[in-house]
Amino acid sequence: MSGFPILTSILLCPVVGLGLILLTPRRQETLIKWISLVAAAATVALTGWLCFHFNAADPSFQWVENVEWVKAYGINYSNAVDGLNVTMLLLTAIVIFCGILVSWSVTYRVKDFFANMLFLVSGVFGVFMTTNLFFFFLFYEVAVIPMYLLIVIWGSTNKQYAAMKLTLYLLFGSALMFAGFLFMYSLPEARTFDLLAIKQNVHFTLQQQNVLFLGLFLGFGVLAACFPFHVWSPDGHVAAPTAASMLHAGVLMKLGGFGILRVGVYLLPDGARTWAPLIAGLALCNIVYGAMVATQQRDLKYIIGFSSVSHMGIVLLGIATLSPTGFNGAVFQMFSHGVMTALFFACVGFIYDGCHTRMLDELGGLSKQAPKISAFFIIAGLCGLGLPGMGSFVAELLVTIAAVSRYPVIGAVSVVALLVTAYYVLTAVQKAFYGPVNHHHHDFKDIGALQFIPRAILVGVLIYLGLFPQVFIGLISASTRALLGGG
Amino acid sequence: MDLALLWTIQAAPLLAFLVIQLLPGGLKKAAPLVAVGGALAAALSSLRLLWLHLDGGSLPAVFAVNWLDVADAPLWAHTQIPHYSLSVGFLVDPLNLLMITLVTVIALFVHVFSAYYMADDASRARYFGFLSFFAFSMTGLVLSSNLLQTFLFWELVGLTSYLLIGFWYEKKSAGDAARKAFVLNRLGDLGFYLGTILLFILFGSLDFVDLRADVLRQAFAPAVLTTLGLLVFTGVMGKSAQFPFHAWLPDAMEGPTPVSALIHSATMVAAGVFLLARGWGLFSASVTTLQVILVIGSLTAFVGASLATVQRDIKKIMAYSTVSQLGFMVMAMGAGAPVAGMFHLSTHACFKSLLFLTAGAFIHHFHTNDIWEIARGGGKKDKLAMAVLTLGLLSLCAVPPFSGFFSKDMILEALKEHSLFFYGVGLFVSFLTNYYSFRMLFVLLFSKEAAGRAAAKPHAPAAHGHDAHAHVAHGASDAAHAETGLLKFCRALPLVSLALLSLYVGALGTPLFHNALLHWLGGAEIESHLDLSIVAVTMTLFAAGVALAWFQFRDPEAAEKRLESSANPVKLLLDRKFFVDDAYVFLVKGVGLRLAALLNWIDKKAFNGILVDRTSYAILGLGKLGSKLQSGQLQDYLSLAMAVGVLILFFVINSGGVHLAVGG
Repeated sequence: MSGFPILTSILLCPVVGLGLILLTPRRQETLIKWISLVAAAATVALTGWLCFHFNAADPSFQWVENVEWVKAYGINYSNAVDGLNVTMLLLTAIVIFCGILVSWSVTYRVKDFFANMLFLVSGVFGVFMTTNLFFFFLFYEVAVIPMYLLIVIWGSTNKQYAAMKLTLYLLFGSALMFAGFLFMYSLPEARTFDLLAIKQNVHFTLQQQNVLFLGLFLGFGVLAACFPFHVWSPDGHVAAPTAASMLHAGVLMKLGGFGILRVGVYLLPDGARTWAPLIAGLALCNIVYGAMVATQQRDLKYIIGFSSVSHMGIVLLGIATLSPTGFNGAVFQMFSHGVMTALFFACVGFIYDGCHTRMLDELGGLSKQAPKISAFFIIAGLCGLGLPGMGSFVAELLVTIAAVSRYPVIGAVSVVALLVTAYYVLTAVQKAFYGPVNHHHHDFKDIGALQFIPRAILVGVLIYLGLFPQVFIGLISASTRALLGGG
Repeated sequence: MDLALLWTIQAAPLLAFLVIQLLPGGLKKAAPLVAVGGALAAALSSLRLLWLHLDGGSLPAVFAVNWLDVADAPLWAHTQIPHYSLSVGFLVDPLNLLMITLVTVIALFVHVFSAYYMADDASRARYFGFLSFFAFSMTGLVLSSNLLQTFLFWELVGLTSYLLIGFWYEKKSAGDAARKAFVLNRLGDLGFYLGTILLFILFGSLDFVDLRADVLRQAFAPAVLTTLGLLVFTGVMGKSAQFPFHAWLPDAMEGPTPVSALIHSATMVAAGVFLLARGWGLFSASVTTLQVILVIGSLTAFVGASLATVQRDIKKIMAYSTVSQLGFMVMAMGAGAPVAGMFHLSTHACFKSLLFLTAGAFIHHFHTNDIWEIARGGGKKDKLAMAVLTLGLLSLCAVPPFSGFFSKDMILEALKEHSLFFYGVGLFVSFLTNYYSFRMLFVLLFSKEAAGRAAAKPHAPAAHGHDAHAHVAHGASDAAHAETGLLKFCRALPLVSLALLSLYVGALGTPLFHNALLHWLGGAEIESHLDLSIVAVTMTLFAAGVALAWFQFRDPEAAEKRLESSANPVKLLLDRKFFVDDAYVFLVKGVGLRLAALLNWIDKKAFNGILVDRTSYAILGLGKLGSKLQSGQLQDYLSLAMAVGVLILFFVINSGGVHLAVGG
């Protein structure tokens, strides 16, 4: 499909925004914020348009753009979308838009902050839209570096340690993944980084598939916070500034799940079959272990961090079922968890700014003081504990259906997390929002209209997903079915 | 026409909820009006719907649409199922119509009563918003056409229950009770969820119209059917407060009293019983399932009734009574008499919501929950409340011709046919019911009024009288508020209407009205023939229960002193609520949280400590070791070079030697 290069335009929005910000004088803070907001709004509009005009019935890649770059090594600048990444692009756009709005209150080094945010999100958009493994890696690295800066400069709570840990982990993951890419490239039939060309030309032996898939899974698994490589994620989320947490937990973590599906399962289905039981086992650890550890946390952000570990387990479990239903559930969970966790961090960030603490024991009575922000947090919590009518319920339902039919024991045990999650979410809600007002934060003020908007958007998306899941499933199901070679 | 009415029933309360949320600050006062309006629209629509279908023609009717395709090609299904998806929709049949009418009508009265009860509460708008949202979720649950949709609304009513129990959230006890209710319900719902998913995977359909016992028996082995039935039944146990999940219901009394009347006695907790009737095909397909249901039901009936005999808090007495009556309904289901169970559900919904509203009237006026305190405050002077209370209690005790009599009689009859043992349990529970009902009535009637409120017991024991309402809703001031005419009307109308209704609903199951209700529910074959032997036994037990209560409580003050001083194992067992709460505390704190703490420790020490930090230190150490090699000292470099040279030489000679040996 030639014509207007819409994917590149989406990518260009933050890039142009970044350029403009760099050209804007440092003291023009409002202008910088507005530039970022307009760039983000443009991506929302473009990705939204793309979702509407995307042919959901067609499982093949659409809106293909292909420019040769280094022909000799098969490195092309090529973008395309199918059901899988069109939704991820939309998610990224929604989260960055809300993230920019939430960051309106940033006062320290405003220009650098927004420049980094846009730089980061360019990388994320790039990873999701490219079909060339070289660019996949390149864009990924583009996303990691600003994340480090965002945490180190604007972060809190042990930020040096957390930023370094996060960055090293992510680089370690990407190194594994790049090693896998290079191995694929080195095969005589391949000699290209083009995903589609590899899929068409290369016939991996079972042994190659097994080795490659394991390597790629470990690499992507680190990004998806797969147990036992999850340790970077709670620390990183806690230390990062609000918008970076939103973007990171909301979108960047999803890259892991996306990569396993797009590269691992798509290119190496037999390798996936070999390792699926292992993935299911690790996913179960994620789900139950993450939830159990979350009950022990006293810092609101750590609770969310471990709940992310738990919820990402659902994505992995869905992938491990290797069935269309499981894949649908996994992608649904990526989307709804992305939105939900962005909402979580948007709420906690605001509370932290106002109360200067996130410790449960030092909070309390917030519902009385600030009913709106409390309601938003409680809604996010209810979504997290899988309340019907919100996105996560549908995702968990699909994954559980697939998991119970494929791995009955693991599927049945994973449901226990629903109980544990209910326990820690409600305990946190009770401690932070109920009870008498704590004197630590008597001057805490509720959110105003501007801060209301991004959170309301996120809630709206969650409820829409929960009530009309077929709209989303319709977008992705043709593509997820094609992943395993089905028609 | 049907669809429009159904949509009205479903959407009117939701609309009320949304409108209340969007009301600007100055107009929040209108919240009760909006909520009552929504409830009224729903109630009128249900009555209209019932009227339209009274002849039973064109039922059941299903209006369903596709909600979610699970997968176009289910990998696990050996046979291709053409339409494999989850649907949402309305189902209309006699059972639904009965239930929806009950729910919306009682909800309407409770909304009206709430306007009186919550008149002074600052968070009135939030209260009425939640109440409307409850009405929305509950009607959704009742009208649902399939098991998954039921589960969906099942969780939503659980949420509203959570929000309303914790309505006065500044109080820790309210927050705790709300969390306990939600988590215990969740525990039961895990089974429900898994059962639903298994049924979907195995059977391919969750529509109630497809769940027929004969079809299911043909499709599955008995063990599978038992598993499915019991899994879904755990959900029922959670929601309908069956033993050992019942522990949340008495605590749920932390919520405002009208909420207890609507959610925790008449409608939501009865949803489990309703589900048993709704999915009757699934449960009755396995004899073992029914047997388990019967056992759990009788345990619950016994535990609830026995605990009700020792409570001082008027709401707790009624809560345990509700537990016990729910056990009765579940027993009826287990004995294979769903019509009797539903009949009792209907009568119970009316008289128990009446009793709760009466309790609310007392609590609102006397600012205490303790029956002795209410009595000392002069509770018996409130003629209307005492009259409807007596009426409700007589109904609860199954005295003819009050409504409870007919439904309970039917259950006992079914139990008698089923097994003498469970009939015996039923009779014993009836005896306990008579005893605790009249205990309460006698304490209220025979207590001497204290000189003034100030003279009332200064140290209200923390375990019982929790003046929830007095402290939070009204502040410390004890000023008697002026009740306007409208508020008086809001108080009296629901009490009187529910009293009349509870008489009428019972009569619907008698030959006087040609057994209208029973025929409506179960077809023509049911004849309620009065088994005189049962009536004789129950009347004897009634006399015995009243006599025992009179003997013990004809002088409430003396009884109070006697109770406080006595100590024996039975009392301990009852005071500790059969140690069920202790067991939960042990499971959560002793096992669950300890395990979590262990995992947390592992996460910190093993994963973060050894795997991450140690590794990084090791790498740093390695780097330091490497940097030592570059000391800048010539002799170091020389000795290193020589050592390496020697090593190389050694390997060359060695390998050469091997080579030579092979070559030679």
